[in-house]
Amino acid sequence: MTIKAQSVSKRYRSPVSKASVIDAVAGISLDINVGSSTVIYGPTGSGKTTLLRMLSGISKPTSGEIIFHTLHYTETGDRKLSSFRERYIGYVPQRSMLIKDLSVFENVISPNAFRQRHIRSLKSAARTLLERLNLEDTAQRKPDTLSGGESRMVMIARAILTRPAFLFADEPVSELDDDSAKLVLDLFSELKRDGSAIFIASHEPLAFGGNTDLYAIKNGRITEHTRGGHR
Amino acid sequence: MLLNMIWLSLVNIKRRTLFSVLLFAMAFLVACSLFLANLTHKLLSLPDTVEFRQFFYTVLYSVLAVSALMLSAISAVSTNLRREEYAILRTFGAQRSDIFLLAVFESFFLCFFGALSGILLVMLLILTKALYIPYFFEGIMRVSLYRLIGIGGQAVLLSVLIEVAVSAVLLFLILRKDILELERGRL
Repeated sequence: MTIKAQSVSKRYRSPVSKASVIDAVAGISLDINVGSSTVIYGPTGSGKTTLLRMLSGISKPTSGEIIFHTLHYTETGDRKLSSFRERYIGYVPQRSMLIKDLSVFENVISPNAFRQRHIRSLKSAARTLLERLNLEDTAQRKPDTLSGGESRMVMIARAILTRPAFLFADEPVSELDDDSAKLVLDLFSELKRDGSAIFIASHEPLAFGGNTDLYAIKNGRITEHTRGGHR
Repeated sequence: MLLNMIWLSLVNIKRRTLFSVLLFAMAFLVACSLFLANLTHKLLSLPDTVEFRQFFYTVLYSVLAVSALMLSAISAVSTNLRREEYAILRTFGAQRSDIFLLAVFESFFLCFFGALSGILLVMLLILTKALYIPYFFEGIMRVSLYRLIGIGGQAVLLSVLIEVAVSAVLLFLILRKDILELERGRL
């Protein structure tokens, strides 16, 4: 299984001047295969998040195409694209996106509970995962009582609960201490070994799990592509 | 799928205690006032009860109007405050119809049980004469059980419909937007 990006661009209207436009991503092509790891790194505002959101099917490119099997993102309706995300995509957002009224445990389960999975197995998987990430003591806490790092770990748990085929993580270790970051990257490596594709957006070239594709991005364009080894 | 939806609904009801209690209470009031108004129409039909009837109608329809308005307002505020949650669920692949169904389940649980408990309480108060309304006790004994269930059912249905309709209209407006706009919190 592969997600193919072909000359993908995203253009926004400038929030300052409505007449001018910003090319957040400009003509990027890359493939994401299951069992691979990819890190895209660059400074703030370079287009990492925009690219990651397009690849994960959350937003559509302005031009170019992203293809998964026979699914062409730009030609696909909301219903099919939602089903695709639900079935194949795990997503860790850059900023805290947790449901403030629900507990950590409920936050991990809720978005994954809409179809095809039994609630009992989801609960059991969530307990195991929270334990693995040393979050068992926070399970009944509300998101507003968590630190930045804990919130990030909860979002990671939510994204990988159903072991998605493609995991897109935006700055997943940015607020974590070294031990937690290692724990998360080890978990990502394990997912990769089990056949998931891991795609990370980061400020720095973060290589993990061996044979990671490293893409440098600047002003919406890929400026360098290398292959990194173990972290 | 059904079990998951029930679990999600109950979790949301439990975690939003303030809104849940308010919606429950308003459904309770809507059902009570409508039930009593229908009983008034049924039981106070004799010419010598005209004044009683007019008094009851004034009070009950006022309560009905205010509580229905409150139910709609609380439902609207509650739905509107959950835009970011809907963005999160949509990001993870929930369909618009899934979110709509979840809202219907929550509304149904709260309003159905709120309205039902309102009607049962009214019946209990009348039958134990704790709520003494002239002609009611004697009259209610003559009404068939099926007719009473019909009048009660109508009141429950109206409560549920008000809440479901208001949240459905708002959800339609909110969920038209794409995920990024939902995240930014624009309606």
